[in-house]
Amino acid sequence: MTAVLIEGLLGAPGEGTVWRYDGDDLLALGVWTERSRGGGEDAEPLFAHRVSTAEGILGVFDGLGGSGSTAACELSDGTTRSGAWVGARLARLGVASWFRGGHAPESLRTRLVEVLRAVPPPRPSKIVSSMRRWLPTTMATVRYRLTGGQAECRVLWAGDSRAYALSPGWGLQALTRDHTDETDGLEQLICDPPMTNVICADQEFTIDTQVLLLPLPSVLLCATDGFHGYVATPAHFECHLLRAMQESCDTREWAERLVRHVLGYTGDDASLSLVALGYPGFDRLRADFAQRAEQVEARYGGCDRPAEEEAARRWRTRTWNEYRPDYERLMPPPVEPL
Amino acid sequence: MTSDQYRGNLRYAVDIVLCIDVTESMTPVLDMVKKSALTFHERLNLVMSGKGKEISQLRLKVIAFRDFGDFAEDAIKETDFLVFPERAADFDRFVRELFASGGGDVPESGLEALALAINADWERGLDRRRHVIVMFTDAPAHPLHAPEAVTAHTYPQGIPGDLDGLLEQWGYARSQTAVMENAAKRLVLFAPDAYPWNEITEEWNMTLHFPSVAGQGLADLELHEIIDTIANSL
Amino acid sequence: MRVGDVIRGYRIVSEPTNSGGGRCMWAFAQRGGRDYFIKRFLDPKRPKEGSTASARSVRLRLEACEEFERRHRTIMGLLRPDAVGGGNLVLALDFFHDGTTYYKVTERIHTARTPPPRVLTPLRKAVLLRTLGLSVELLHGVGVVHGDLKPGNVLVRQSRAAAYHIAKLIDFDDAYVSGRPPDREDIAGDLVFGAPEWRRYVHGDADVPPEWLTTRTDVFSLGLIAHHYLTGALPGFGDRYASPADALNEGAELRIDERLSAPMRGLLAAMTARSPEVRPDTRTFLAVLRNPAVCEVRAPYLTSPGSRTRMSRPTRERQP
Ligand SMILES: Nc1ncnc2c1ncn2[C@@H]1O[C@H](COP(=O)(O)OP(=O)(O)OP(=O)(O)O)[C@@H](O)[C@H]1O
Ligand SMILES: [Mg+2]
Repeated sequence: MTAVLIEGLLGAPGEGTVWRYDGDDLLALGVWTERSRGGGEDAEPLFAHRVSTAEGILGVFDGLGGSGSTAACELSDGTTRSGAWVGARLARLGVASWFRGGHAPESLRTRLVEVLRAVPPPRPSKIVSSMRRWLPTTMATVRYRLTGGQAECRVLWAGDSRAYALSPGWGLQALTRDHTDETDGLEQLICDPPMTNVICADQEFTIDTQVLLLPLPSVLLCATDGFHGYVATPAHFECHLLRAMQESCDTREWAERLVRHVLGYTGDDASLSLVALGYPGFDRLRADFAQRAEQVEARYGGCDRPAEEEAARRWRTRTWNEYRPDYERLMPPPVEPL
Repeated sequence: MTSDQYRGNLRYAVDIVLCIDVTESMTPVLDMVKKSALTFHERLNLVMSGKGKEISQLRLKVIAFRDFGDFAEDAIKETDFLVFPERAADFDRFVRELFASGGGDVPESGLEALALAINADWERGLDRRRHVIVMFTDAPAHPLHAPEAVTAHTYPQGIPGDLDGLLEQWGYARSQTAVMENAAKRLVLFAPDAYPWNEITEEWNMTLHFPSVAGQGLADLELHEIIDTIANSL
Repeated sequence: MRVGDVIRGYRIVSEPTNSGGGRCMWAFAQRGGRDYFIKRFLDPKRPKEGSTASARSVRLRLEACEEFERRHRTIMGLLRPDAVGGGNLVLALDFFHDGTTYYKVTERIHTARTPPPRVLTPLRKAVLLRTLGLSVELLHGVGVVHGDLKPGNVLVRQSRAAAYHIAKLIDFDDAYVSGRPPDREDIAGDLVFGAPEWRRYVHGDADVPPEWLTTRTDVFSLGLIAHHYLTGALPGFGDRYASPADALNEGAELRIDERLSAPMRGLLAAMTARSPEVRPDTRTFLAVLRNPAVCEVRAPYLTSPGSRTRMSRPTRERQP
């Protein structure tokens, strides 16, 4: 099988990297940015698609700097990278090879454990607390297969990276639920709760999963919290996505605008992988979303957002409550604490 | 039995009879045939696979001839049909023992060789067949049953009395006397533009004539040309 | 036939060869300052003047010749070189026998070195396939089956450096009227590009009557040629079989190259269907090709760029 590498388009330093692909009923783009130059701990956003079986995968991986930054690896090219940096990339590698091999969903965790084990940790004494994990990373991936006008989706995730579906009728719909004790999307934005489950080499972790059937055409995306964790309300992430889309004239421009948008509001590394399935081209995609873009902009865009703090809080709560039912319609139910 | 027989596909049988004049002047051609005996099969397959076609069964037969009227004992020597590549070594041994010599007067016993070739034991099975006779000679031939030839005790039995009779054996579209399959057969002549080759070329169907320039023999004949010519006819 | 010979005023100017010719020798020729292609048929042969053969032998051979001439003249009558839009059909300008041998003369097509079609851009591929499709449609429009469609019977020509590549369709000598093919022993056709019903007919399969060999038999071959032009290869048919037709006749399926666009895959799958009735006609072929994008060839496996760095070294504590 000949693999074709989608070419990455490198922006100016500090401007991130994008790639895009325009194919038969298949548009895809990726955005990768880093907060400080050379330190980006998000892995490059993943997208792979096998034409013969009409299946593909997208995913993002956020190496967790806070919990993994002290220990480091030396790479074969001589540079030194944090455990978080390495963890995210290894997880990406593991997912990509798992997809290529056509393995069962259940085997993903084993594959990840295998891949992470390949890099032995520094001497145990050096990892001081249990908070400090070796090669820690989040993951959000969607593996899809196109059959009879539908996309069969298997969502797999750990931590607070997210997978979404985006449609003109329902807007942005989360397909994952963060692994945090706090389950309210707006509260998560406000207090940035600690994660209860992340992928790492030296502690137990779980891969959460759900299966969905989505009608075609369909847009799927995965993003790290650099994209969705620094907005005023969950709706604002959708506003950014659609605004950038509507302002663009092709897939590449959309990706480039997303870089500029996210650099404008994020406080972290941010990466995103997106695929539009069943759209003959970008123009059609943009046309389909034109009305939805106007609506979210008008309702949640925030032109009429009050300046006064208390009023602003109330406005956020109100719009969130309005936005929430559609946003959560495909979300797996929260796990009831025992 | 080849592995091909288990395939669900069409099987292509190729039989080739090489009629080689081994009188003295033929040394260069004979040398070429000797050199290529072991690789002939591979080369032919290479050219064929270049066309996306595959030979399921290849058999070669050699008929070496001189002149019955001149010296009866070594006027004709022939092999059976040898299946390639299994019998390549036998083929090689046979041609290596050939040496170009003798010949007497200029015309040779080419027509007798051709008659033997026409009456060879051609493959009748498999799905599609090609039966090719290749004649290499630099000389005209005596008419069939020439008086000095028929007296030779080695003169083959049952050979038609004249060229008309041989044509009836070679056949044509609706012929009922043909011993060759009309669609399968090809006659390739590397021979001078002289009797009987010119007459055969004129009247026989499925015949390709590559005339040698008189007096120059077949010295400049190249193996790849021969293989291409054969492959083109397959 | 040799260089320098003059046959009916055509002077042979190239070494005659059987290269690419199944039942002929051919050469280039000139007459009146114009270039021609001349083909000498290996079969049938007329009995020579004053033949000493039996009357029966002479009669049988003459009958075969009359039949041969009739078939050629019928096809020539249906396909006139001056027909509108027939510019890319390389038709007979002259057909005669000189002594015992039949000859056919056509315009000479100059095919300077052209790249294999698979390396052309999608637009160029579309133009090439459309010119081929139009020629075949013209044939089919008058109820004629080419009978031997294969890349060897399509000359690809580029008239000027930057011009589009054009398909010139040659070799109508095995053409027949739709539904009325030559006998099973006589019918021509290509082992690789031939259709399943043609294979069975040749094979003597009594379930395949002559009426089954129609213009749809050409459509099958045209589908294979298009696949070959677009991808450089035939559809996959498994190495157990010698040809796509054999594979289909054995119940196997053809694998259309997945890198082809969806409409092209659909079209080629339909054109190479086992059953002639379900194959589309050339009009459908041309309609699909109206959009050159269908000729694009895509990668079967796409993957986004990632870091290539290898993490194989032992780890160490980072010094603060
Ligand atoms: N008009 C032409 N101009 C230039 N070359 C030609 C022309 N027609 C045919 N040729 C060349 O001559 C070769 C043989 O011609 P053609 O296909 O008509 O012979 P054929 O005996 O019918 O072959 P087959 O039966 O194998 O298809 C072709 O492959 C081509 O290379
Ligand atoms: Mg031809």
